[in-house]
Amino acid sequence: MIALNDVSKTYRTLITRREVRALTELSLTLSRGEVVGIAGPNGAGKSTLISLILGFLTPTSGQVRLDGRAPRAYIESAGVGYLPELVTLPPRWTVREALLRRAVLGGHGAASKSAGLEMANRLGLHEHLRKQVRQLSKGNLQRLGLGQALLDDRDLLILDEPSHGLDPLWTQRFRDLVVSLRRPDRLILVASHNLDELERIADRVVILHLGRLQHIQVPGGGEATQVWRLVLAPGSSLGDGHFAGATPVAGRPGSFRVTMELEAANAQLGALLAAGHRVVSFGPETGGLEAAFRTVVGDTS
Amino acid sequence: MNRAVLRYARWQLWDHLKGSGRIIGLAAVVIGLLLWRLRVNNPDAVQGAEAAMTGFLGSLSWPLILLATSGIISTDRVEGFNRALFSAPVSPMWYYLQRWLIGGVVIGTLPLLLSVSVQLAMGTWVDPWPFTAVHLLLYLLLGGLVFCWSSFGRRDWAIALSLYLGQGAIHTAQVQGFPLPRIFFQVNQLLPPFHLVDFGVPTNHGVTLPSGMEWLHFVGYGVGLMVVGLLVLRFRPMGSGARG
Repeated sequence: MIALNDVSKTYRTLITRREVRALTELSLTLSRGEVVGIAGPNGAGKSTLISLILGFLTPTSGQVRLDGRAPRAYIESAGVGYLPELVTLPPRWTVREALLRRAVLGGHGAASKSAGLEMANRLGLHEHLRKQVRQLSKGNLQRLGLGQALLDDRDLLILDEPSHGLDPLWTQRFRDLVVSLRRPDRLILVASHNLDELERIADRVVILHLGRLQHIQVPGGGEATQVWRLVLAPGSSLGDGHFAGATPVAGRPGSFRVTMELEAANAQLGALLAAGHRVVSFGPETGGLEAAFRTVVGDTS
Repeated sequence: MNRAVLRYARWQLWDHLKGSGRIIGLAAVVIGLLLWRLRVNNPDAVQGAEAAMTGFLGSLSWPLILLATSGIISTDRVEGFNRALFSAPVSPMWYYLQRWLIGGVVIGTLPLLLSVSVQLAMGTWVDPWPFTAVHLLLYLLLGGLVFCWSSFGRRDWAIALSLYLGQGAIHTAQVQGFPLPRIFFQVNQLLPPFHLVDFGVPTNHGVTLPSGMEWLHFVGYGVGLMVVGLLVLRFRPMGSGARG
């Protein structure tokens, strides 16, 4: 659905013509049916990439295509559901007005009012309908932006930092929402700093760093993890050859770092429990995505 | 233009009514009260109804046009409002053209409302249509100039105001034979021909409209400014970064 071929974007300052390379020779193909995450540190090029896909920017070189068309041509005929990183709406608009206006522009026609109200109910905004945008909390504003993005039932959804400002309850609801939005003819693109969130919802995560595509991680590949954290209950200890090579974690009594493959780790764990030791927890030392991210950005701490 | 943009016209009308429309209404009421007070104190003031209308329109027309069109495109771009708007299947070109046209409709009511005010206050009817023609022609040229600049960037109204005042000053100097360097008059040939329309001066009791080829010059210039603005909207990307 989205094809980027050797896309580069360079910003130039107006007076000095100093160049800042935001993206360099990025090639990527994203298909319908996928939930794709975009991760990267600040300044990695995530926002530029989204702007290029939306046609709000044009690439310095290379080509962006949405279903074979230029981005604006696609969007002006099919539309996209888009939640910007910063939800910016005229401050005097009411919540009701913001949803209604977006529904009208989205082509809901005579059903605009009911579509807007239904979305307000779905996102828990019904009690804020008469409030002006400037009176909303960060979380409610984010939900309003999300409501505008989801109003039109588009084939392409682009969500930039979607859970930013949401409380834990709504963060969880958002994850459930993404699951419910999956369908074979829809591509959902989620840019986030929250690696845990991307690991939970995305089929693939594109990791950008310094304007380049560094790595594509497939979350859920937990079996590939080889570094584990084992926490024993007070009174239990490692011995009798269990988890040979485990190293205690400094400052955390009963906590050990273990390096081995999943099968071996399971066998060792079974033996440990059979020997009467009590285990509080056993899991990956870090998520696979987090480990990949750290490797890409060069942080091995 | 797609149907969704046409349906959105009522929201754009609402925005204009809340902005310049409110000021037009207020101006009509205040002027009506002033004229009524004048008539109470001096019954002969009725004779000057048309002159009053000319004077008020000459003072109100261009500021209201600037008010109605300032930031018409650039505000959305600078504030990032365009991001939500144009993720919908909507062409920025048609969206802003419609916004500008609706602004013209709202602005165009000023002479009619002033005529009604004059009628209610002084009991005499002043034909609003010659004034409406001048007012709308000025909207085409001055409003078109703001639209054009707004498609490029901010401070559209300030640039348009500078050109409006600058052109007026040079033209006045030229008419009165003031010895300005020749370059000023050459530059003035390239500036929008604001001098071709005028509400006249109170003693003239009338308006100035273009005649003959001046029509072509005036309307062509205004339409040209609009076309440039629309082409910029068609071909220039709307964003400067995803953070808006």
